[in-house]
Amino acid sequence: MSLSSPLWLLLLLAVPLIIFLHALSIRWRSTPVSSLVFWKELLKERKANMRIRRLFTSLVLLLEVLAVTTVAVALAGPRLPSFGRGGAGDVILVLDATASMQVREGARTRFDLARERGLELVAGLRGGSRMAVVLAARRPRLVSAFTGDRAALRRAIQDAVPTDEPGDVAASVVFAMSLRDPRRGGRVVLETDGAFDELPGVDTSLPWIRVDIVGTAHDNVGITRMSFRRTSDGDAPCELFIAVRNAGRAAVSVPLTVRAGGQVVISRTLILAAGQRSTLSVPWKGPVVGRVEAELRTGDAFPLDDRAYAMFAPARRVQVLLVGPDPWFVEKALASLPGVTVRVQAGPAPEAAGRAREPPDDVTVYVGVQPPALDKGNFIIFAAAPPNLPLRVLGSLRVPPVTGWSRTDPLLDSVSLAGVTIGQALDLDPGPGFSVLAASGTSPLMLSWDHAGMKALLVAFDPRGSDFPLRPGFPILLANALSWFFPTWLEAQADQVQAGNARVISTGNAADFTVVKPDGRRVSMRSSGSSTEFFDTDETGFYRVESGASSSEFAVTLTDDDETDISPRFNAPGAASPGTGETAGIAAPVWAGLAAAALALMLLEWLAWVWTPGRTRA
Amino acid sequence: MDTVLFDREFLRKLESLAFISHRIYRGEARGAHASVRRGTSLDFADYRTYQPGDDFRTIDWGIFGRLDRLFVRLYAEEEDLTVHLLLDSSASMSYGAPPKIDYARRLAAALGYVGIGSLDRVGVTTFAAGLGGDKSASGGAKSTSGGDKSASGGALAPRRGRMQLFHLLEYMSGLRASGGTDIAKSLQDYARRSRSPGLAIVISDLLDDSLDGYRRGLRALLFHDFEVVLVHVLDRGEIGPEELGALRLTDMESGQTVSLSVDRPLLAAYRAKVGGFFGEVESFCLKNRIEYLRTATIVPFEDVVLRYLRQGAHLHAR
Repeated sequence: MSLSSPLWLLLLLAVPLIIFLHALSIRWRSTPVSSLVFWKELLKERKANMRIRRLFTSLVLLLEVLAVTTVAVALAGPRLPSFGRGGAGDVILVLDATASMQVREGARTRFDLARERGLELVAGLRGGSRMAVVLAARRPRLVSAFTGDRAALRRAIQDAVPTDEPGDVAASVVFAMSLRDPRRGGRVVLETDGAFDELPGVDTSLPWIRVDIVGTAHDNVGITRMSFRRTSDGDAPCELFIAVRNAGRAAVSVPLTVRAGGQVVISRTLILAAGQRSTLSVPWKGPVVGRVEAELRTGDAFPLDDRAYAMFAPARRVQVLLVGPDPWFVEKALASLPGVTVRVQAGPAPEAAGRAREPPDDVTVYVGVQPPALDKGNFIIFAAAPPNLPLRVLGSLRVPPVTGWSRTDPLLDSVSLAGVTIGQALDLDPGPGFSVLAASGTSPLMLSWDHAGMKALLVAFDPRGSDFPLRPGFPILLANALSWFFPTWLEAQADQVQAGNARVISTGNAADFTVVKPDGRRVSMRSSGSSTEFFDTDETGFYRVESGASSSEFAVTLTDDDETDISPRFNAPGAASPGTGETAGIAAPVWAGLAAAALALMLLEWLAWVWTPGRTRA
Repeated sequence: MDTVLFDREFLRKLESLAFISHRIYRGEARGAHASVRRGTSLDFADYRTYQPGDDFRTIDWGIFGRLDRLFVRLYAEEEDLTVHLLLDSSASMSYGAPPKIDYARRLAAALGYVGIGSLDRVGVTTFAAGLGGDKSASGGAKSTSGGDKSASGGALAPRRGRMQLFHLLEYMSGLRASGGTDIAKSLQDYARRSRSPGLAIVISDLLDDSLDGYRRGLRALLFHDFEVVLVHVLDRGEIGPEELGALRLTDMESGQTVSLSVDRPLLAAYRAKVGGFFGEVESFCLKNRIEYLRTATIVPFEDVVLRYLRQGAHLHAR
């Protein structure tokens, strides 16, 4: 049972007062009698009756105490679980298996406590009832379908283990709700630590949903993000970005160590105020190949988020093919961008080389030449219109002024076209699928196309006939285009996937491959093409992919800001207060019933008072 | 005495009454009551064989003629009667309005007056936890004044004559109720000590700690050849109390208290209990040929003396 306003229980202090007043209200009148001999005889003979009478007298007091107690409890807003631990009907047990369930509560983890309650539910199942068990992590996992086999259910619960994944508990509860058969009175029981703010999509006021909160509040410090970002700084190829959160109630000082290639690259102490998030951005001076592991030494109850993992893959540059006569400005601008290799192909358009379905380069740039029919790939086209796109050239515009451009499109981020002089531009008529980025009147000057694996930036004028290449916005436009084509273009190739997310593994022509998990378990996979998605990333650490004679590694890390806050904070109606360790049910309030009971008790008290013999003269 | 015990009219009525004894007692002086002694009255009593020295006038010559043996005729001797007034003076007798002790002493004085007027020997003894003269007795009557040797401690020894009447009235006027009650012990002691059994009039509320104490006491009197009249004096509040509520009842004799929530059913049970006790007393007295008179202080004591005792045939008009 939970109370929504437990302070009202202070009203119970009135009970001793009532008893005291009752004691005061009895006024004994002294009466001399010639002899007590008959009275004593009566007391001896009518002992039982006298006791009943005393009970009747105290019944008034008893009813008053009961009435006050009931009123106090009613005002405290009790909510009783609408169903018990067991009971008739099907039960869908949702065990929260997210990373925070590994928080230690004394000698055991939160998941141990949840598992224990799950076993109690199994023990309380009535004959004919069935149970299904769902593990809630990044995705719901059905570990036991509906069965009435108690032994199988116990086995399924005992074998369940928590994951290192940040979770989406709500999705699992919704999944469990979808399993419920209303005709069988199915019920959903969520055993969780409540380390989340809400359960979106779950109506917790439903009487057949119960949330059991396990665990207590703990202070915790953890790494919530670790990434590498390329820089143009000549001294360091990239910089390390680490975010750390103190989800505790006290300031802490924690040592941070970052190791790469078996050596300590960064070691410093972070001082964090209560609740503070701190970020660390430092030039990376370590090796850019191999494992990177960051570690906080906190000694808190949740060591999982004290570590973050990344894997540096071999550096990969963006290959740009520049096609066109004398594309000097464009070449210089592209070459100034970090990690870009420009190859210039002067002369005729690349029809001579044939239509390559798979462009050999990452990006192809056409400057002032008619491109062929384009397929998949990334393209930047100046003063030309691909023949296979729904784009008609109506003519040309002479010195068209730039009358407007999109200031929100990522392609024009930080790009200003104000005052740009354009000598001549194509008068284009774009069909559906194009996005107009800049225009002169009704004629588009810049367009983007993103369809069927093809991304293209079209510019209606030749940069050589404009002052735009002389402006700062020109290289920024190209950089934005590369970022649009490759969102992680400016980031180092530190390979990292969050626990629970799929990892795309490129397997080439190999039919089978094996993934060795951090704990040494081997998972055999069959390729489904040149790349295969691997979902079994429930454990943080380094995974090795073995495919024939070659092998590669990738890192799985937790780094989740919400998961670092391990305090139970789910506050749905009827949920138990975090830290009580009590069974919490989502249940209907019972104050109305209690209020009626209090009224009835007061009525009974009045009747008992009226019917008390000798009341008027006592 | 605080108040006048009797008015003149009442005394006049008393003078016309005398005690009747159903038994024949051996008196100390010639009186108005039959005696076991054979005397000179005209009431034939018996025959016996002639002994030398017998008065020839008492020889029944008719029998001698028929049987040829000498028998003398015996006549009953008329002697005085000893009236023992045994008055309960325990603290419980002070209960009531008027107090039962006032009622009882008036009654005793009236009966004593009747006895003395009939030339009977009248004595008064109070008792509570013991006899009035006992050291063990915690209460009793004060010693009579006037240096009369017949009055010792809490008792007025049985005597005849006018002076005894004065002593009796003085004794009654100084009577106070106090102490506990042990009827059995008191009456047993009195019966054992008394040298002249006679009519014992016990005036008491019979409220002893042991409700059957009166039985042993009265049996002792009967055993010692007393003729017993029991006058049971009660207050109306004892027979039918009406007070309800939370009461702390205090025993007037022991000082013991009992706290009770008294309701009507309890009062009814009390009345039934008292009624049952009255029935037991009546039954006992009937069985043992004891004259029993129960009266409440609300009944004028003159009525008790002039009507009820007369109806019981212990008093008769002279």
